[in-house]
This record gives sequence, structure tokens and C-alpha cells, in this order.
Amino acid sequence: MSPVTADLAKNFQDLAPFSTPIRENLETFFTQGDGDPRSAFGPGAENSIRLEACLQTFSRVFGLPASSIHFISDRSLAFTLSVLGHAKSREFSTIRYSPIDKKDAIAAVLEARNLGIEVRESHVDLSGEIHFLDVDGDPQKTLTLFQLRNGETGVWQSLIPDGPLILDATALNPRGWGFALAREALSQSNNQSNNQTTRWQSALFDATSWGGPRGLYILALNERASWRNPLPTLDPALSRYGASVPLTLMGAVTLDLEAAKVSTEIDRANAFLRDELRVLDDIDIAGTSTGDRLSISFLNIPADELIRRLAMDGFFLDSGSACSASELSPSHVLSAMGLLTHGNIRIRLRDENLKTVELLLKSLLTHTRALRMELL
Amino acid sequence: MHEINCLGMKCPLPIIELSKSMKNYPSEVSFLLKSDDVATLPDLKAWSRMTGNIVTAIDSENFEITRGI
Repeated sequence: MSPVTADLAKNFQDLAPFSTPIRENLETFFTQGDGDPRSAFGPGAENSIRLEACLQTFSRVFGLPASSIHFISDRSLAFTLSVLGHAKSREFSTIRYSPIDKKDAIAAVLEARNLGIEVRESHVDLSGEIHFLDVDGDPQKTLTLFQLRNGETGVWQSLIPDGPLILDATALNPRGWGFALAREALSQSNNQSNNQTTRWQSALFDATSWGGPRGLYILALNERASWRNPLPTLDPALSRYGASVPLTLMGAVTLDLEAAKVSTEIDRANAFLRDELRVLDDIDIAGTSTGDRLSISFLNIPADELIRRLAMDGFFLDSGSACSASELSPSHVLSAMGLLTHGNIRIRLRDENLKTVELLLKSLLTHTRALRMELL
Repeated sequence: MHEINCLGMKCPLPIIELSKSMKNYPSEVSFLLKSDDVATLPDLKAWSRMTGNIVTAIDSENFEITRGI
């Protein structure tokens, strides 16, 4: 049984089939959202209105001006536009990042060196907290790529670093507790009327983090920040990199639905799994943050075999271990945090699968104990 | 020193082989683990923290393990 046809209730993978409201409206999104929104007549013109409504939704939930929001179809492109666009503005001499940033974000930062920017990597501790290096010279000249929440481990940062920021909010769930922190970081500079730091320069969101479609990234560029399009173009407008209209409609609808929910049940399920798994020896649970994501590594367990056995029970999960991932290197996030990289599973909690968490736990305990008995 | 040759083995076999050797040779104090898998070093660091055993990287493929007290 493939994850696509699997029971939604037993799917704990990062990307799951669309939730019921999206599936029910899928045809509408594509039949009504398929015209070119730049067209002045026909379905295109209607789509301009629909996209404007989407902009208002994102603006309202994120607390950002609609004029700062751009829809991008590719995450690597979004990071490139953000990081290199600020680097190209020549406002900054240094960019700080952390080793648990997304690989395409790190790639964009390292590319900034070709623009004469000094790049500095910060330290991450075992709990996943980032310790940014002190800034030499003018703090306003140092740009920090700040990952508010790690998408792999679910670990939230508790402190926002000083100085100008690129906010990586790609793992931000609008009902998680850290969302208020994000809104605070984003609103500080919007309302600023004095000469203090303009905090966020740009912010990046990923629709999959709230149950939306893959292929929709929201790049917010602070209109007070210095930014120049880093890509070769004769048209400086970002609309050229726009995502598809149906995906944008889906993203806005799912965001609205998710923002209206409360996170209590998901937090409770996360805490339940953390507590109950402590009966096993030699496991690493990443960080202490609750929320919809959980990363656990089991010593002396091959992740691919554990994932396979869980799938036989009908549970579908992801892994950050090299033996089960598409690449042969272990997760750079787990490695940077000093956590065990093998025997890793990632659990994504959704409303649909909360009732099956106890069954998942039972299956996990059974298979990890059995595998250790077999292998040691 | 008991040698554990895991050259050519992929994660998590080197760590599993190490755990098995430590279990099977309880009187042995130190072990030499040979592994060329990229995941071995980060996993040995985590393994050391979790188990209390001491890991010293001799070079990129040779690791000396001393049993913790």
C-alpha cells in the first residue's frame, strides 16, 4: 500500500494527501483558478480578484502588508531571491547562519561570498538552540538568517537574535505557540517609526507547514529593506516567479482553516509520545518543543527496517537517517545538534491521525524492542 | 585492543557491530573500530554521550573506543 492510498489517519509523514476540505474543493481550485491572472478579461481577471483575496488572507494571518507578499513556486528559488537579494543590496558586510538551516538556504548564504559578503556559521547545542556568534563592528551590517522552527525536529527557537533578520518561517504552523513570536518579530519593524533596527528584511513561509500544497512558498519582502533582484532579469518585478493560481488558492484556504484551530490536542499527543517512549533505553528525542513535529532516534536500530515494519502495520513515517533517505549522507540537522543520526523517525501530527497515536506508540515499542533483540 | 572491521558497511551497521562487540567481550577495555561510512563519526559522538563510553578519532577511518566506568 503506498502512502498515497494509505488511510489518512495512519499517515504521519511530512507530506500527506490533502485534507478533506481540500480534496472536496480540488476541482473548483483547478477549474476556477487556471487562467492567467495578468489577463485583463475573462477567467484571468477573475483570478486577479481571487489572488487579491489570497493576499489579504496571508496578510491577515501573518500580520504583514499585502504589498510585501509574493508567491514563489520553488523553495530554493525563494531562498536565493531572499538571501542574495539582500546581499546584492550592499547593505550588509556579514551574513550569519546556523548549521541546522535548510540546505538550500545554506547554499544561498554561501553563494553570497561571491558578492564579497563574509559568511559566519553559528553553533547549535544538543537541545537545538542556536547560539549566534557575536557581531564584529556595526550590528546593522550583519544580516542573520534565522530559522524560527526547524522543520525536521520541530524545535522552536526561544530567542530572536538582534539585528536585521531573514526569517525562515518555512516550518511555521499558525496554531503553534511560536507563531506569536513570529508575528512579534514581523510586526516590530512594520510599526517602527524611529531610527532603530529594521528587524526583518524578508520572511519565507511554506504552505506545506499548515497542510497546504507543495510548490507554494510565500516570500515577504519588507518594503523598508534594501533588496535587489539577484537574478538576471529585465523585469525587476517578482511576479515572474509566481506560483500557480490553484495552488495559491489551496494555500490560502488551508491557512485560514489551520489558523482557526487550536493546538491543544496536537501538543498533548506530542507530549504523550515523548513521555511514553522514555520507557525505551538509548533513544534521542530532539529538543523539548511540542507541536506537530517530533524527531526520535533509536540506538542500534536500522531506520529503513523500522519504517518498513511500521508500514506493515499501516503507519507511514519519514526518516532523517542515511539508510532510509534518498541521499546517502545522514541528516545535517541531527548531526549538527549532536543527536544520533541512525534509527531516526520523524512524526508529523495532524488532527486526522491523533486518535491513532496510541496505536502508533504500541507498534513503535514492539518493533524497536524486537529489532534490538534480533540485532544485538 | 579488540578490532572491529566495518570498512564498507553503511550506517547503522558500524554502531551495531560495536555494540555487539562490547556486549560479547565484556572483559575487553578498548576497541578499535574501522569504518569509512560518513555517518560513523557523528553517530559515535552521540553514542558516546548516550552510553558513557569514550571515543577517540585516530583518523577519519579509525576510532578508539574505551569502555566507560
